[in-house]
Amino acid sequence: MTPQFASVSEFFAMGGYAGFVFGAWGLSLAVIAGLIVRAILAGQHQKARLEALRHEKDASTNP
Amino acid sequence: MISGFANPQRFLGLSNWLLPIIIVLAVIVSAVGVIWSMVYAPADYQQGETARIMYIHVPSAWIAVGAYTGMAIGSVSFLVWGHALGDIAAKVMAPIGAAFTALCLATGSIWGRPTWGTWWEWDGRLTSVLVLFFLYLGYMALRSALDETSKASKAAAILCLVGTINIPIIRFSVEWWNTLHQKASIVRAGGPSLDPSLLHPLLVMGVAYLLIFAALTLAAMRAEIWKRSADAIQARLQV
Repeated sequence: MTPQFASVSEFFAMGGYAGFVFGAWGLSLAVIAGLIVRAILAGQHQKARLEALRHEKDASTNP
Repeated sequence: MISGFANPQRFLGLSNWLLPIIIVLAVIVSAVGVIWSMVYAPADYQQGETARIMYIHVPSAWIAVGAYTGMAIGSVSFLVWGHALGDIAAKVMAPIGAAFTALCLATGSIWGRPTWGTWWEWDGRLTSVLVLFFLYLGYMALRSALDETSKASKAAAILCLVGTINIPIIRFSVEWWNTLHQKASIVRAGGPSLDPSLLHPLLVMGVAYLLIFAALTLAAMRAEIWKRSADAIQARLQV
């Protein structure tokens, strides 16, 4: 297996279709990154909320 | 292991060690897939470098259809056996599947412009995938319109199952109707028609997308289990 591009600038030119190739890849990267951030935030939020409510419940049942 | 996934508390325990493993694998396989498909895979003899869009377009289509199939399986397990985890899985897969369907449509459109000469064509394949996107949106709209009860879960599960009719339509759309979209070239009678030098990096990207989807789904299921536990405590505290 050998790299298909002779230089870095040739890679970024993508045979004249850089806008299409990097546009599609960049969009995919952005959406997947957004999904990852969303998953992390939702997990943190719900776990913290559950722990706070468990404390509240313990406080109300053992005054 | 499968039966362990039927119980939410055991699921939290299992996913606690399974999720990090999947994340590590996803990072490794993605890195290999991206470098292979962007740098080492040869350009297509007709499409040139634009064929590199295939390595993200086709896996996003697999996830778009696979996530919906996963939702249908979860919905059946909820309707037939009353598995709460089936309902949870179906619920959290919907926005993830919708995002990958949007990516499939967008990257296909970007690929279509230089190769077909058009951003969009109202043919069987493109239209049936657009219908899939609207099925995801309809499912999410129904869930958010109803209060979280078993009735809402049942209604959503039934809507999901009705929509599965679209899955074989997507699969066979390129054979039933004349289209600009190419025919099946991987899962077909007689084996893949795609050259191994392009097929292998595509399969690696497919595995990468599957691992990313699995990690996102497990993480979202954990969040949903915590949310439902928290909602239950909150409801009891407010009485």
